[in-house]
This record gives sequence, C-alpha cells and structure tokens, in this order.
Amino acid sequence: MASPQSLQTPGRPVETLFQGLGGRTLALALAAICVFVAVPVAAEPLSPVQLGEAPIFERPSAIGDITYTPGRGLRVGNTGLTIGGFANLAVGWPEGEPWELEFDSFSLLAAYDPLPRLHYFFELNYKDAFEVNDRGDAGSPDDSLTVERLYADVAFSDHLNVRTGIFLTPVGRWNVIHAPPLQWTTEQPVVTELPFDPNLSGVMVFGSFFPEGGLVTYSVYDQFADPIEGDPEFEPADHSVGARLEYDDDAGWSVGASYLAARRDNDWRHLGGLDLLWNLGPVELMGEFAIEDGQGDASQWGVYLQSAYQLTNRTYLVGRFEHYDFQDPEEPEVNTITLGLGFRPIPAVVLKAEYLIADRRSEEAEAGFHASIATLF
Amino acid sequence: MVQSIRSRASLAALAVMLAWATPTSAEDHGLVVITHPSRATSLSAGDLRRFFMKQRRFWSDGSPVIAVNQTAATPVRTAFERLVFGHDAASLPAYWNQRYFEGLFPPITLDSDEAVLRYVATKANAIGYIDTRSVDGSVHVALRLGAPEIAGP
Repeated sequence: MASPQSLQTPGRPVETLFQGLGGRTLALALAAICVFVAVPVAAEPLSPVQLGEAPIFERPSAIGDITYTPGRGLRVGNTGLTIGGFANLAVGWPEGEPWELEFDSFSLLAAYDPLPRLHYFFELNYKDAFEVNDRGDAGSPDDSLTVERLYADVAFSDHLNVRTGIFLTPVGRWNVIHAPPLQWTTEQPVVTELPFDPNLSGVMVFGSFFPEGGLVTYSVYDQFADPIEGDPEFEPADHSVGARLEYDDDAGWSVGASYLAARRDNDWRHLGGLDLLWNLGPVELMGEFAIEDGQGDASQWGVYLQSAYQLTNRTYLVGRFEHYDFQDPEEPEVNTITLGLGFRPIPAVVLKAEYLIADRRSEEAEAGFHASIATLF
Repeated sequence: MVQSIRSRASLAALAVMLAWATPTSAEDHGLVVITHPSRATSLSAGDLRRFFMKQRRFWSDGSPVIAVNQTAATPVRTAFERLVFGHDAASLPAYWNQRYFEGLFPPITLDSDEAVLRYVATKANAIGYIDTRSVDGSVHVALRLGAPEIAGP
C-alpha cells in the first residue's frame, strides 16, 4: 500500500485535511452515511427525477392516440413504438485545474413491443458532443456516436427470456441504470466503470422466480461480437461470459452477485462482485464491491457505499465513500468522499452539485467541484 | 348544570367517534381485485405486487397479464398502493424511471371504477382493482383488500 503522503501535492488543502484524518477516513464516511440513514422517515418519492403519468400532449390519429409524457416518452398510437431519451450537461472544476463545461451525453431511446412476448430496444448515445473550458477552448475533440443498446427480447415465460444483440453488462447496479437523470451524483464511482466493459454484444438468458416475500432474478450471458462503439479508445474484450443473481425482498432491500470472465489477448480475467440496495422511506442506501483477478498487474478491486436522503419533494442530499485499489505501482489506491445535493426545479429535470474529496490526485476520481443538469424526456 | 355539560360532552364524544368510524374513503370500505370471470383464481398481495410492477408478466396458463391501474393520486389508487406496497410505495417512481430506461412502462391507467370494471369484464387477461362498493357480477373477485372484516381470498 502506497503512502498517501508520498503523493501529496503541496498547497492542496483538501489533501492536508485527509492526511490529518489518516485512518479515520472510513469512520468519517460511515458516520456521514449513518447520519443520513438515521434521519426520520418522511413519505417523499425517492428518485432524482420525479415524473408523472399524465401526458402533456395527446392527439388522436389513425393509428391511435399519439401521446407524450415527460420521462415516459412519445407513444406512437397503438403501434407499440415509444421514443424518448435523456441528456446531461456537466461542469467539472477539479482542484488546481481549469473548469470545464461539457455536454457529455445525449441519448435517444426507442422501445418497440409489437407482441406481448417480443420486445425490441435501441439506445443511441452521442457522447461528449461539446466542451468549453475557462481558457476559452471550445469544440468537440472527443465526441463519439455509440450504439449503447440494440437488442431483441423473446419471452418464453417469466422464468425464461432470451436477449440477443448489444446490451448493458449486468455487473452491479450502477452500470445497468447509468443514465445521469437516474443517478444521485454527477461523478460515477470508479468501481462501476473501470473493471469491465459497459456493454456487450451477444446473447443473454434471463428470468425471474417468485419465492414468498421476494423476487429472484438471474441472467447468464455470452459475448461473441464487438459492440458498435464510436470511441476509438474503447477496446472490448475478445470474449466474455458472465452471470448475475439478484434477490429483491418485499421489505425494500435487495442483494446481488455478479461474475464476469473476459479474455483479452489470450489472458482470461475473472471479476466477482457483490452489491446491495436498501430503500426505507426517503432513504436509499446503495453499495457495490468488485474484484478483478487476472495475470500480471491486471488485479484490481474497489468498493463504495452511498446514501441518498430525499429532503423534500424537490431536494435531496447524497454522500458516498469509495475505496479503489488499482494494484498498480504507478496508480496506487485512492479513497474518496463525495458530498452533494440535488434540486428538481421541474419534475423531469434535476440539478446536482457535489464536492469530491480524494486522498491523492487521480484521473479516475478527480477531487473538486462537480455539477450537472440532467433530464429524462 | 354539571349533568347537562356532561351530557353535551358525551354527545360530542359520540359524534367524534361516529365521524371517526364512518367510512369516508376507498380504504375504509376496502378494495376488490378483479379479473375476468373465466379466470376464477385467488391471488395474494405478493402476486399483485409482481403483476403491477410487471415483474410477473404471464398468468400460470402462459397468457400475458394486462394490469390496469387507476389514475395516480386518486383515493382508490392511493389505497391500493398503500395496501399492496406499504412503505415501498415511495420508491415506485424510481422503480418505473429505471424500467423506462429499459423500455418498460407502468401498467395502463383508467380513470374510474366503472372504466376498470368494464375493461376487466371484457378482457380475459386483465386484472384491476376497484372500490368494494363498485363491484358487480360481471367480474371475478380474486382478492379483497383493506377492510379487516372482508380481507382474505
């Protein structure tokens, strides 16, 4: 374990704070999370965005009523086609760095349900469409167009469904609901993006079982083709196989376990993960742990614990502690605490602001101020 | 004088008790979960939870389930969510936001007991809920919710 002191950058007050706290970092984070959890329960909806069911646009047509509901999309009559999406504009002001404003994602979603047992889904994401910083540099140097998802589901029964195409990798919880309007914070935990590919091309078998008082879902998948990815830096695994098992209890808590084996250059890497989610009134507690064991310097592991508290119908607080160990001499472990708040000016839009404290400088977890505005449409 | 005051106090207390005991909402009377007469089955609250969250999408014979909600924030809908989902009712918006991200949508909604009754009476795979006072012989009552004296399959 590398000493955080050896990585200190002189004049960085936050790191000085961390150094002073030393081994108490974890205790501080847990205390902050416990404060959120201990706050009395109020009956407020628990979601960054809050959406209604009533359409704001409705027009009769030859193919049925065409309706639009914010956050539920445009329903094209009785065709079974629904079109929607989300967008996110983010500002990052890392410590000692210039600020940067970025239109970081614009996604279109399309769902088509021609038959009760057949479901098509498509997500097209335009990433990093535009950015500007405090030096006046503006442009689209890193923009890319990516097919995040493109699949067909065939439901044989509740217990047996088959998905074919490009789908999100079912490891943990964050990756499969990664849309910014659905997340409490602007920044993503390192453990939810580093150890595995966000999406896969292949086939997945999944289903549900219904024990008394709960729900068990499973998925088993095989990746045998490359995703349609516009980012030239993205290098998908040559071959992946994986599985996930999740139990959701009617009392409001859920636990999951994930496994993924991925081959790159004839080197198989194995990832195991555990995750939990607990809802109690206005409090949500979420955590994920993942460890990837491979050859050479491929091993890495991380864990985060996050708590969100819905203060009112329009505002929430969020706190998160994360530890990530890259198992790399050039990239030692990092501990971060994120404290933030969110405000919903209108139901389908959320404004987020947070400060990320890190015990060392890391490209993967940039200490400093982060904010965003996200909408689901 | 004192006796008169006591009598008035007793009458007032009785009035309050009667007002408290008088059913004023759907939950006071209870709800009935209804299906088409051809689907004469009994259900549990857990089954309802799965149907209305679209986690369970098929009847035991393999037919697709059509769950029918009532309009949001109406007394019947509020009572149904409280009785079936309890504290979890607060997390339903987040649940459906996440399902929307997968292209899955909440159950269809109808705006009255009468509309739900008519719909379920004519759709073999539909399931809905209405105030107990609105039910008639055109549907099968699969479960009673709410009022203790009539609860149970």
